[in-house]
Amino acid sequence: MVHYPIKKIIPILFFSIGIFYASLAQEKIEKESGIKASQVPAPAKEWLEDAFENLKKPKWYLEISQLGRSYEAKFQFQDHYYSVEFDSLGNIQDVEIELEQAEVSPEVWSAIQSYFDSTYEQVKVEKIQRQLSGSASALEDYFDEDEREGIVIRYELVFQGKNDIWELWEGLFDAQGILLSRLKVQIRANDNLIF
Amino acid sequence: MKKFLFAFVFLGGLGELKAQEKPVFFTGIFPELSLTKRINTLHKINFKVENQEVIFDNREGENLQFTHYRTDLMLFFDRNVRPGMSVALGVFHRFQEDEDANRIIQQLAVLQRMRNLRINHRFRTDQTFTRNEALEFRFRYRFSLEIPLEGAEVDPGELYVVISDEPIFSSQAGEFEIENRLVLSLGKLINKQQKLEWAVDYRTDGFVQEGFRTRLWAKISYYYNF
Repeated sequence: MVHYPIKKIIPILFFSIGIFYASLAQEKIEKESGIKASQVPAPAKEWLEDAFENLKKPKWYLEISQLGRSYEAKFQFQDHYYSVEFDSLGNIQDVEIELEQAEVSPEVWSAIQSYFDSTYEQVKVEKIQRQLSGSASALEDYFDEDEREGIVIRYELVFQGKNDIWELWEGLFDAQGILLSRLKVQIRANDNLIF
Repeated sequence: MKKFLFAFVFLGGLGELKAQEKPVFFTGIFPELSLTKRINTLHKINFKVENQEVIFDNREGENLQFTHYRTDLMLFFDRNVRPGMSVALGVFHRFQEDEDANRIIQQLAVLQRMRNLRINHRFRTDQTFTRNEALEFRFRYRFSLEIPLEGAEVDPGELYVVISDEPIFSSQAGEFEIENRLVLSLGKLINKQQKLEWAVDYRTDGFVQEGFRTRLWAKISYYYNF
């Protein structure tokens, strides 16, 4: 083995400390972070308690974007995974429920399927969410009384679509399964996991 | 997760059985630099330098030292197969005390994205060429679990943890050997391009042939994507 003086360790340490401090000069970012229920506006918590009886502790997140702040509750309820979004004052915005394909009505699914068939050679669906929006009272009635008036239903799908190459997409479909918009999804760099 | 902890304890336990003849142990620092250049939507190139410096070796008494052990240079050409799945070919050169080594690497990586975790499976085969030594073949599988520490996703500026374990099966001149690498990392996603990770990398080998040894590295890794 070749012996170096212990002093050689010092430049390496400085190198890593240097990178760390350079990293603190960050760009303006959009982010979400976990928060305690006590940091959530009261109307958001009250709406959730009224709409979902006997709900066990949801996980709360604060999202900060260019559009401002919003709060999100995520929880499992009656075998489904829910994300409920509130604005900065705690007013309900929308509710997203993860579904299996079989839980989407056959008419809606066949419309979505015909979009896939006309646009891609192959598709693999990764996630299906039913998105519900409407006024606070309409949404509450939907969940505690199954009342559908005043509710806008949309479907948000994350899927892999192949033409020349496979790409990841997020598509928003209306209540009839007609595509409203789609967005290409970039997977966050995983160089630390694969190399 | 439980299975993987069990496997580690089990492999560690195997080591203990052989440990009566004072196993070799050395420890040191392990800085690592990884640069990844995206060429187009399908292809990327990764260049990586790893440097291992020994600070303590139980074969050389109580004194601390600062001894160069290895410097590895790696270059990978990666092709995306599907979102989260890629294959790569790599070449590798190792500077070390005896003859330098050269290696070619074939890799398949599969990323599973869950609601708030990411699990990556990395499969590699490699062939190592060292002058005056028989060709060495290896198969390795690395399981990595990435856990965000602030929220459901790792966003720029946030911390995360990666736990990984990698058993490595090798064959050289008809002799079979197993190595295990358990790594616990604390990472910071600085921005979309950069990551910094501090890790403890615990390596055990010599399970089958003579010479069970453990190596413990304090790792600092910097990742840059452009």
